[in-house]
Amino acid sequence: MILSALLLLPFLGFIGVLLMPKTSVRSIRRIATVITGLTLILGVSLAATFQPHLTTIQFEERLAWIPQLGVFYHVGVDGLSITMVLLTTLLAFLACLASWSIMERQKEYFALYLLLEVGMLGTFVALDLFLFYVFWEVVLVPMYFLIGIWGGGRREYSAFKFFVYTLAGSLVMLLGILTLYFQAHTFDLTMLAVVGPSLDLRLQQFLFLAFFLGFAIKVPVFPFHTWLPDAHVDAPTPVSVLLAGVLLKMGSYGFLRISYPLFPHAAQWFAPAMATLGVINIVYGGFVAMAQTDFKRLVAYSSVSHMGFVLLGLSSLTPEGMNGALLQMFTHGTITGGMFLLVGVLYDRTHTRQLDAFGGLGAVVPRYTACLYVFGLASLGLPGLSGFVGEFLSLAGTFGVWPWQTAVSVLGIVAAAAYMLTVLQRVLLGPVNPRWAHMPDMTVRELISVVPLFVLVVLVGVYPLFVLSLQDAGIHALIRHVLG
Amino acid sequence: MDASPALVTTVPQLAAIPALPLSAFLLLIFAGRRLGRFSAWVAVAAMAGALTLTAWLFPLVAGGGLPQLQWQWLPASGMPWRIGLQVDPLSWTMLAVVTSVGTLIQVYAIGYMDGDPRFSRFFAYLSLFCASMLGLVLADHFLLFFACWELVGVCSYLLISFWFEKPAAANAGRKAFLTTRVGDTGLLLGILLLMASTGELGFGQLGAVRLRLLAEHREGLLTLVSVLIFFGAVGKSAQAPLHVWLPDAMEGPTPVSALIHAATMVAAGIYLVARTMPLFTPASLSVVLAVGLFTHLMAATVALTMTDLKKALAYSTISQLGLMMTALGLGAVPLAMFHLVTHAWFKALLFLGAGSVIHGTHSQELGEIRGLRRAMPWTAATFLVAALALSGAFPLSGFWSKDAILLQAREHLPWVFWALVVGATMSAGYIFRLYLRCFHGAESPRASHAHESPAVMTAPLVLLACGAATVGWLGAPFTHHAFFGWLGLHEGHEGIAWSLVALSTAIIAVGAGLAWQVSVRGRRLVPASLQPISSRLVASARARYGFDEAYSRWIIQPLLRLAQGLSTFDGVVVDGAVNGAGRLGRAIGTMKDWCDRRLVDGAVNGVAALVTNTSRAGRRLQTGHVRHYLLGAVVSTLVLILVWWR
Repeated sequence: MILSALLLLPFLGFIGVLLMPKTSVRSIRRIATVITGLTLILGVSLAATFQPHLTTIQFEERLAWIPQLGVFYHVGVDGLSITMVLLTTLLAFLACLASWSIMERQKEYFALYLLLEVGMLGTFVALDLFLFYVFWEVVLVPMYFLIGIWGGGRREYSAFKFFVYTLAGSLVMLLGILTLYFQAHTFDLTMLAVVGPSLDLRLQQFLFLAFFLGFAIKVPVFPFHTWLPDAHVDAPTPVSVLLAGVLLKMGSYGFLRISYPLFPHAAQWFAPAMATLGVINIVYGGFVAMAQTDFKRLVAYSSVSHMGFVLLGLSSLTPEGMNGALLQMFTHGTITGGMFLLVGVLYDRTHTRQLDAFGGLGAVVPRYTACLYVFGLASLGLPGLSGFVGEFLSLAGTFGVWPWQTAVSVLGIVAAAAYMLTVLQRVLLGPVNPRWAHMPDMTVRELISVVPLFVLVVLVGVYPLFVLSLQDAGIHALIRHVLG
Repeated sequence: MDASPALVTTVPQLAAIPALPLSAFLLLIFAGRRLGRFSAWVAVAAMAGALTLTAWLFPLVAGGGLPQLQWQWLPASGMPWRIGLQVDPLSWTMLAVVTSVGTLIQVYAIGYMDGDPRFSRFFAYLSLFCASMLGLVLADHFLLFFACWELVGVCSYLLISFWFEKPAAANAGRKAFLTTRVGDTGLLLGILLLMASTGELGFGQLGAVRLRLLAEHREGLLTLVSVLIFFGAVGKSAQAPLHVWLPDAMEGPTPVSALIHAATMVAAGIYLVARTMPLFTPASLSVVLAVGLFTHLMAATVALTMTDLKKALAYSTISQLGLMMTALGLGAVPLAMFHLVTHAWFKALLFLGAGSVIHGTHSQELGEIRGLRRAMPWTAATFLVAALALSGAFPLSGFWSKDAILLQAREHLPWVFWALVVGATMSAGYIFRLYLRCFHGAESPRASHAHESPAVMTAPLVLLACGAATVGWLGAPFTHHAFFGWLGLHEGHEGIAWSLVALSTAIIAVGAGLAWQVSVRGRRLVPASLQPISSRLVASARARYGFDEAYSRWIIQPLLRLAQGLSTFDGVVVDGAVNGAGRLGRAIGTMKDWCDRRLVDGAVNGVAALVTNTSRAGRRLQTGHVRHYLLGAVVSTLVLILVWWR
């Protein structure tokens, strides 16, 4: 029942906020914060009671929903999804705190925000393909409005682009789902994982590609990534956090939950292509990030680069590589989430994101400086901080399988150092820009939203075992399944 | 480290060695402001604690024991993901250097950094550096080693750009980080390759790995791995062609230059090669030798021409590290380590002396500081000791370490020996040039206002001077080459090689004499006919042979242009395709709209119109006059009859 509670809680919050009068902004904020906080507590207790050594589905629930079509409300978590649930509940809570700075139409904002959380969590716990698709699409709608109404810049263009692009991908995926259904006559993912591998290789390849398009746009994989910088830049800070922290992971999670277990032969067949795309993401994203002058855009392109390590790790089909990929999904969520929060802190004070508008802030705002240093260094893969572990495991697992791709991707690590150090230098070092000489340091609320991520970044960097142990058994089971 | 397991003992105190400075870091970062000046003593106490522990370990290690400590870091899924600390004679040597020199330099920094607004922050960073450096030295495994290797790099970055308001310092920090990271990618690839091909990452297993790969006739793989690892060392130890960051790193506070960029961190590359020596093949050793020797000579010529005191010392460091690499290239690990130890002492002393000069005169330009001997007697005297030690004067420490390398070269590769003699002459030349120009001659205006540094700075100078004079005796015949025996080399030369003493003295006499002639007497040594050539040579050395310009022009600018180009490509082509698809969709929509309205809807409307029009035409027929109807009936009957009749 805990998973249903997990989904129901933000949904009830959504209803509750809708019932509130528009003017009682304070109570709306409080409801949303309490709801996301309770969801986080549920998420943490879920992870705490999760049996890490079991490879079976845990906390499983199964109810008939549309029996005529064989559609079930079937949810559960295993090693592949538990860290994602944890990440989603955490970021949703922290970004909710950051949402207190939203100044207009708060009722609609928090209602849509809570609906978004339902969709995200549902995607990660759904074990029925139909249900998965429903949640997948549920995410789209609130996101569209959150960017389009509360965003900045060319928000309508960006929101529309995000919506149509993702929808186009999911329509191809829908085609795949229908094809699969008419082959297997079930939507149950555990059953499909049994039927899928016996399908003809050609069919598997077709289905893999159909799902790939849906997932690749979400990840995003080059060349389907251009919605991301636009959406990130124009979205309000908390939405950027969820966009980068959670939505991108829905794509790579799709590979782990659907593409790999259902079409294992196709997955092996496409592995070299996945590795190559991963390398392109890493290197291309890194280089394009180097050329950015807008802080948020730079972080957005760095996401493209970092998600490349996920693809690379997935392509290896080794325990190290896959563990690295899944851990990278988690750590990228925490690091980039933190980065976007920090960009937001700066933007709230200066109303600009141009990197050359800053300078010397290291002497003005010490708390902010410490945070930006840690997240920046984590993002460039410094050992001792969490970014390194995922990247290193991905590389270590992939090197034995795809040595050339891995060797080239090391270029991306140098590029990461180049753009991140440039950011740190332009923002924090150099002579103080007199315009910001009296900039206030981070407030308590801002610190509360950043510090948990800060702690996680250090903790996972020093002792990654506590996240890895949650996922390790699930990863091993998946690899055994794929390799037969 | 291939020792019998019986000697391995678990010593939990090992963790305290890096943990002490680490806790000092944490304490200072969170409570530094409240601690104020006291924060320096926290850092010093932590370092002294690590020093005590190191000394405490000595009998255990000397007795052949291998103190160690291990724990799990990642799931044990077939790969050796554990973390371990271990002390053998090699790492104990490094421990001793880092803790002893580190303690002295931190004490010195109390005086040097006095009054800095970020006083406690400085000691926090310094403590973090010491913790990472000690972790690096204690690591028994590539994984922890690499992690600490990167961490010392970050500390170096933070400390170089410590005075970050100066753009030069901020740039220098970034340059150091990026340049060493280029080398680090080599090390990372080497580690990945080693792991992928052998599954081993422990330092203790390297000997077995070598034997296995040689037995499988995979010497090429071994060479590749070792060259990749060496590339990491090239970056960290500032060897050509990645040496360009070290002179710029002098933007950092001088205690940092002494500790990180002279005595310890830059020596980590030497330690890495020494530690992984089992992986090196004759082919890769010749690469090490070539790089080391080239760096040794090239940097020495640059050091002869620098007019910035600290930059000259930086090139001297690069040159001396090149000498250690040369020793490693000759396969002589104990000799390289011995020079590492003696160099740490006298080079730290030289930098601290330079710091004292800067502290007293607020300048590091050779033209502005002259004749400081009288104003700063302690600094002058200790600097002279260090200069003599560096140039290899008998019986100071540099003599024993440098001459051991010369002897080794003479026995194995005579041409290297002669190259090293040339290098040694230049070393004596540049260091006496510095000494003479700073401390001799008439007092410059700045020098007349100079003052000797406080005791908290001169006391470490004196202690370091004692060390710089005597630490080399550990490799002297009258201690039976204790140091070499310590590192497992038992075939030392008995007795003092008097021919080498004579040669060394001659080298110093030549080098120092030339320096005296040029710097103090202002003589031109080159005949007028060769003047154009020599001045061009000097100019190119002074321009550091244009490495920076070449990198900027051929590597950095093209890469930045590539980044810019890719960004444009991303916006115009990739995103253009997306927007193009969007526009195409909209165009199709517009077209379909037209079709809908004109053709589909048009057809519907057309039918309707047809009916209306026909009915309208039909309505006209209904005139209501009988004659019209009769006419119609008659005409149509006639037409029908005609048709039928035909």
